[in-house]
Amino acid sequence: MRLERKTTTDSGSVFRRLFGERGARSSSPRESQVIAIASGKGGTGKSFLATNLAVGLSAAGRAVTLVDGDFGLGNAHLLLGVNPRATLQHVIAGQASIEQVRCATGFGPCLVPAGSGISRLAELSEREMLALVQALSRLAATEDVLLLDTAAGISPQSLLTLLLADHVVLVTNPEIAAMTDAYALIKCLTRQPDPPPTSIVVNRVAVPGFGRATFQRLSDVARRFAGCDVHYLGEVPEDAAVTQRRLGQPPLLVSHPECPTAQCLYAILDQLSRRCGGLEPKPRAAGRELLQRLRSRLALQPTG
Amino acid sequence: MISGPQLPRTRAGLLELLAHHLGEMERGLEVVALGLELDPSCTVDVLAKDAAGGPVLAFAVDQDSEAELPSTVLATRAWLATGRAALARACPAEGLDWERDPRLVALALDLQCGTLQVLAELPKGAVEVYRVLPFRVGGQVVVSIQSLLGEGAMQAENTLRVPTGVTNPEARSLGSRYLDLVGRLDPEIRVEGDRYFRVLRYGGQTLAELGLRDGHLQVKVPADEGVAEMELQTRQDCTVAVDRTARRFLECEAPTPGQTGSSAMEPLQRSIEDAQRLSDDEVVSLGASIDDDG
Repeated sequence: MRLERKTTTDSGSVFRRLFGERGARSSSPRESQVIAIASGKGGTGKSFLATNLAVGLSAAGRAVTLVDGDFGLGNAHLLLGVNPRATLQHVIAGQASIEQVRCATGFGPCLVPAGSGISRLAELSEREMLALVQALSRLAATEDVLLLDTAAGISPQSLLTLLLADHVVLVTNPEIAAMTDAYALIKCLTRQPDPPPTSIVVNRVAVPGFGRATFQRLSDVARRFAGCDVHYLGEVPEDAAVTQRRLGQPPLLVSHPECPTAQCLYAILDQLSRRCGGLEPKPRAAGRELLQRLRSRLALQPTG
Repeated sequence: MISGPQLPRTRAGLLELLAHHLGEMERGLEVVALGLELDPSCTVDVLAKDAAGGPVLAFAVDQDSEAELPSTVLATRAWLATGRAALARACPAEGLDWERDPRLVALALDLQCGTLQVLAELPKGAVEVYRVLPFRVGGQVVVSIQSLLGEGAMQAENTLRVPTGVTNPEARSLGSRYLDLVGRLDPEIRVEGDRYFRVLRYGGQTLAELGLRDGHLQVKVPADEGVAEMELQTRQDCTVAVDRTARRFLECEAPTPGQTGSSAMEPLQRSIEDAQRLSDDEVVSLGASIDDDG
């Protein structure tokens, strides 16, 4: 199934088709596709991509929740024009349920905002991480897609978040520093048991096509030295309309759905959908829920 | 059962909530007076004193008053520049030290990003901003306080340092020595605090509290017979307090793997450190150049 963008002319047919497919769903327990958006370093455009993918998926009829996992420096709420009353911090502290914290945005997807400006959140203990995973598991039972906007860089916490995912989308750009950090993240993921498949988006591409060349170099090094295959999702051009965006503006897919950058985002979404079974929720396999998946990937024994 | 956030629907409800829970924003904060009209354009909702006796002027911010908050802060600062002595005479509360610079504090249930950005551009220290979220837990109102702007926000990141509200150099030196020595006991010791207060925990248990009392730093350590209280006035006091805290540390159970990040995080951390060490071949293959020093 191809995901198509919703416009004023074709949204009816897209939605009819999607709702038709939904009617044929099995009533057996389902679990959402969990897609983690990651970057080896800050400033690559990870949150821009995450928010726009969430908006695009929602426009295509998916029930999407974007979870801002950039603990301590979350800004997805700013990009989606939400002023949250409670955040993941309250969920982790047991002061609110994740359902209470999840809020609607004006652009389609729901958002679970991260705490902002609270460095402690970037240093969650394992117990707190497990509380977070249990909360996300509840969300996964109700949504089609969970998008995890993870913290930039490589830390145990961000790695744990990536290990929850069915698929990792790694955002990089053609700069050598960004490529080096992206490669380190790929290498690190590869060394975990049963790592999730990883795809690459190259952002801020000055010359059309250079994204694929950047990917090719990264892919070659990953195959040669880390023994792993990564996949190419697409490139996003360097675009002043993106870099000069201000807080309070709607996501690009809403404000400029016809611009070249938006077309690239739709192409990325389409590729991602092909790689992830149409981004439909999947049958819930016993022992493969989020928490079990994390334990398996960390080779942890179940407790209590 | 937990429910919330439960936001008061009226301004009177908001004021009542803030007055009752002001002490949860910062240890030692006490309400002195409510509704202080400095002039027709400048009303302070709560006058309080902090642990050092310094005056704290608090504003309760709701949707209606949010837009005026930056101008209210500036107007109050301007008023205090000339009217502070008069205010001191008008409010001679016990223990309120008007020699200290009054602090302005805004307490909001919700705040637009734009308002926060404007407040951030005011002179440094002009106002501290906190978000207050009330929840109902087991029939009781529990308030979550989040520092958004000002010293509280910064202190959350520097808790192993002496609270900045402690200004006496000698007290700061002793407090610093105490925290430094206790911090060396174990990297798993966690420290939280605010402007005047620190609490040290190990494996979820309280090791000690460090706070200001009557101008001196005081250490409280839980003990069998209650709480052992020690003032830090000399280096010998500091040694005794560290010794007592170390004994308490030995009594505490070490954190279990489920309580800290040690079990799963350590292998991950090692894996990360290993992955980040790239060979020359890897670096060159990615397109970087290697200088003569490698």
